[in-house]
Amino acid sequence: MKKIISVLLALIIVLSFTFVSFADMGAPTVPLYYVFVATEGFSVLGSNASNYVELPLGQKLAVYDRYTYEGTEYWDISVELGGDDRYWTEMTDAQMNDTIKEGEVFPTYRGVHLSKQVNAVVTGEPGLNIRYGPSTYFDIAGFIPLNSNVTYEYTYHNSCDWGYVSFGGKTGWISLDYVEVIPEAQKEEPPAVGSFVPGISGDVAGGDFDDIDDYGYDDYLWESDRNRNPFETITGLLGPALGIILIICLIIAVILAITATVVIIIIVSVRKKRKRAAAYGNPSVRSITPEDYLKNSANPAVQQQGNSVHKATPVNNPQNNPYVNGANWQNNGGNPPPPAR
Amino acid sequence: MIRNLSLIMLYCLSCTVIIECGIAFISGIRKAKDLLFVLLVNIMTNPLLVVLTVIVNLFFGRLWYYISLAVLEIGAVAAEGLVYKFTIKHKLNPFLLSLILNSASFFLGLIINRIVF
Repeated sequence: MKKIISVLLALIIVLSFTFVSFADMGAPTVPLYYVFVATEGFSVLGSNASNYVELPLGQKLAVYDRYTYEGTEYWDISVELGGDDRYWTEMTDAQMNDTIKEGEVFPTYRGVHLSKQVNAVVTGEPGLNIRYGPSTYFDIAGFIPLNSNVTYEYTYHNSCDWGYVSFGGKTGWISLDYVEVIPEAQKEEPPAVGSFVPGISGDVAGGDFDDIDDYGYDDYLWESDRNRNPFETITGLLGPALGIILIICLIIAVILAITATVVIIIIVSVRKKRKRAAAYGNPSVRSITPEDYLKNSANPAVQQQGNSVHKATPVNNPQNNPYVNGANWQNNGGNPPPPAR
Repeated sequence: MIRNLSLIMLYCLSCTVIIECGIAFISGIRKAKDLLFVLLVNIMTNPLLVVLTVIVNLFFGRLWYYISLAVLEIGAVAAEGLVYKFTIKHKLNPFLLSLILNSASFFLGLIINRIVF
């Protein structure tokens, strides 16, 4: 029993860690989140660059890791500068906070999600400002004239909704209150009358709303933003691959804890059972028999009696056991009786 | 960090088990069965503690990480003490034994981390 438990436990530990380790290796590299440069003069020195490159305002930075080394928090970031240029660099927490104006342009957990690219037309007169961050507190980075076509990629939800755009060489945020989304359906052939078109509109469990809202996003996503379950929150925060790894690790930890607890309970209960058996002389369990008791007694007369009993009476037959009916207790040399059966 | 979380869990568990079994052996727990209980209670508490503190650190930041670490360590000491109470016969109070073992592994772990990383 012990061997089986040990082997099982060892197998669980080895397999679980091996599984997750291999899962790690095969997992795609997914950024934890994205931030955007909001301060002029922010430069990075990538591992493949010999000089600093100054990043433009609004430049997207992919954050892959945050860690602490000798008391300083570092960010492991990647910068895509167009084409194949990709800079990996590390910045201290202080540098990053100076750069991204935390609290204003820190579109991490609370609002931004990656999405498909959305095409829209500017409807606000006389046009629309591009700002360095998703708020009117940020400076104006550029201007998009009325009726211009824009494509935005990310959204940020605060008091109103903002989209991340690139227009005329400027990148930044625009208010989505002043754009009109070009529905994808307009580009396709109109569906035949009476046919069902999935993804355009329809009933969704828990509510009746269109799949695609005014800004081109699935209502389901918006809904899940508000009422995310823990799984969605973790995967939403870390990206699907890292989120799943974290969840798997959590599940493994719980399984290990439960398994170890069960093994401890089993061992303790077996030990208790044996102790009880020893106390009550259960012949099915190896324990102190009356014969052992008599043989181990300090009284030589009792020892002799024990030897004779051992030879004369099979222990497992109560009929032949002189200690079952209590007849011999008085001849026990004044010693206490062996454990009751 | 998350990408290597399983390895971190394995590393933490190995270090903890080695340190705690070593200290337990020095403190007079010599039976293999009793040392097996030290191993089991660490498998019970350590990976869970590591994962939970990582999650708290990710979601709630550094301050809550330290708070959660303290709370979970106290919980681990209590849980391990409870197990020792029913499993290991030792001259020390089981909860005190658990506290000593956990403190030793915690502080030695800090020193090892400082040296290794």
